Amino acid sequence: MSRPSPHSKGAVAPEGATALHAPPARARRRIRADAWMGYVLIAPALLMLLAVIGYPLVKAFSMSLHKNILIRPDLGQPFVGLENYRNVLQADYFSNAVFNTLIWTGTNLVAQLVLGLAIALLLNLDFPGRALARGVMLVPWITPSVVAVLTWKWMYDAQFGIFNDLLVRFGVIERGVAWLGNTGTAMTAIIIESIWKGTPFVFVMLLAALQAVPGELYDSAKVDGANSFQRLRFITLPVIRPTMLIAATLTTIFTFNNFNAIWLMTEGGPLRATETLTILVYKRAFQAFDMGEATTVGVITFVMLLLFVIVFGRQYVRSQMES
Amino acid sequence: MDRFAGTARFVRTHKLVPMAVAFVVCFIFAIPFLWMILTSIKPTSELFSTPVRFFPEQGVYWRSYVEVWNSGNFDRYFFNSVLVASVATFGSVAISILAGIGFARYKLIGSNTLLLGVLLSQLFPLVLLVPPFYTTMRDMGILDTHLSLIIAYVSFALPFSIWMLTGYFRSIPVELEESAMIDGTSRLGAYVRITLPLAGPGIAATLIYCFILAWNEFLFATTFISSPELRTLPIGLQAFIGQYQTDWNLLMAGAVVTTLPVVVLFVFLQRYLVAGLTAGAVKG
Repeated sequence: MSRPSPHSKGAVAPEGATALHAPPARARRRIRADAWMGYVLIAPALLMLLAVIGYPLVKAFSMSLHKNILIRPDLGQPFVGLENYRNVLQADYFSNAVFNTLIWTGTNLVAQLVLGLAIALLLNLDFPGRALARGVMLVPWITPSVVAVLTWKWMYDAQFGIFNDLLVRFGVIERGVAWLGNTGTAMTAIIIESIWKGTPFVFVMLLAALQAVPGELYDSAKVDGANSFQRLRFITLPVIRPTMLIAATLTTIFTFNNFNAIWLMTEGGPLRATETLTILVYKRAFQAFDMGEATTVGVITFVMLLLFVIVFGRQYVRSQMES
Repeated sequence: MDRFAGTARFVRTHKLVPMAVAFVVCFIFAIPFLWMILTSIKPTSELFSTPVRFFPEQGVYWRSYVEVWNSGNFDRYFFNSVLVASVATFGSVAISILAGIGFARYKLIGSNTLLLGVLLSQLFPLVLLVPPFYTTMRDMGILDTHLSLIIAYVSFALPFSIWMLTGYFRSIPVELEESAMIDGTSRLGAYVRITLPLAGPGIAATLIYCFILAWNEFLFATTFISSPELRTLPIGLQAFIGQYQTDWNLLMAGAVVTTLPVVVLFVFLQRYLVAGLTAGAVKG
């Protein structure tokens, strides 16, 4: 973590940086002379991205304008204009999914940011065993998501799960609850798993930002008589604000797009109680076999996310462009 | 003397509080991981009992690992995962190295826009790609093959790999290449002999990133692969969930087997990884 990398906050600019920005005249000429070489070098990447991400994106958009029932190839794929959009926007399952997505994303975002910040502040203090604690905090992050979700599914087991067992032991509940089987608790249960899995990422980002806060700021604030809460409020938070914005943006996007946690725990059930837009796309495609409606939901989701990125993603893009 | 002792005590208790809180927090976050391991070393009879028994009572039960590896077909899944992840990683890193040098060393028209597009392409819902992917793969006749997964993983890993490597290559002084060229090597020779070795840590981080991405991927694997003998580890694990009863000790043994390579890679390379990965792409 201490090693400066092109992306880490507060990395020292390498000596070559200035030379790169203003190359000597001779070098600049030569660079321009064989620019074709540059295009050759990036060509494979661009072709690959165009073929495997660009083309399917365009195709998804076109599919949303056609009728396409996977199990009825005899119907062909007639152009239907915006019919899929009309059907989807009027469907109950769509507004349900939008609602669930907002709950799912909003709760995760707030919880992960607050917890991530608290833990980052805690593990930024100086105490014995700090390095180990930081290492342990990374465990949920590096656990493969399928492994994490299935482990939690087992922990949530209504009869033999450790979650119920602990709650009963501590007298919180009297008898085991089928957390994933009730419409009232399923969403909360999955959100808890997701907070567990996602908070370490926020923690790592914020810890890096905290370590980059110049110590002199605290010293002079102490001289001026600021107490620790004031130092947090008026020094720490303003300095790490950009990183918090980036962490918030990324968390929102990742949570919004999360498929594994919900699919492996409940498949969107019971009774669509945990069906987010991502799950809905998948179910429309591979349970209803309606590729037209599936891609329609997908395109709407895409547009929503795009608007979000345009509004909130600027800080992220700027930070990435600088490095 | 007294004042001294007081100060020492103050410092000690002052550190004791964060230490205690950190211990509790870390323990809570570690519970699922510990529970996975504890479950994997218990026989079935001890799993299905109430109240729950925390530790195995008749010693460590290793049979789950043997069973999941042999009769659970995890040897096959493990091999498939290694194959798919390795090929995808190799392809992705090779392409990203070329592109990284291209972006870092040449003035290209619209390169900033291109890089921005590359960056943004990892922010949209991947699930949107599943239906068009599925129909395209079906039309090409490569549904239910490892090739379909490899193609998908190479391109999913590309955006972030290109970013990471472009950054690394930019941080290497171009003068080093130039002096090598004065000494008589060609442009490409300078890249191979000077730039690539210097970018070693960056390339290592990219390798691990791509490998872990492919190793963990579930959505496309579960959609494209239908033959049991072609399953990768994540779908092999999911297949363990039974209609009526699930052998959780076997499943958790499989989960440990799936997690182990990732943890090992991470422990060895964490300092290269953390800084790079938090810059933007991976969150489970």
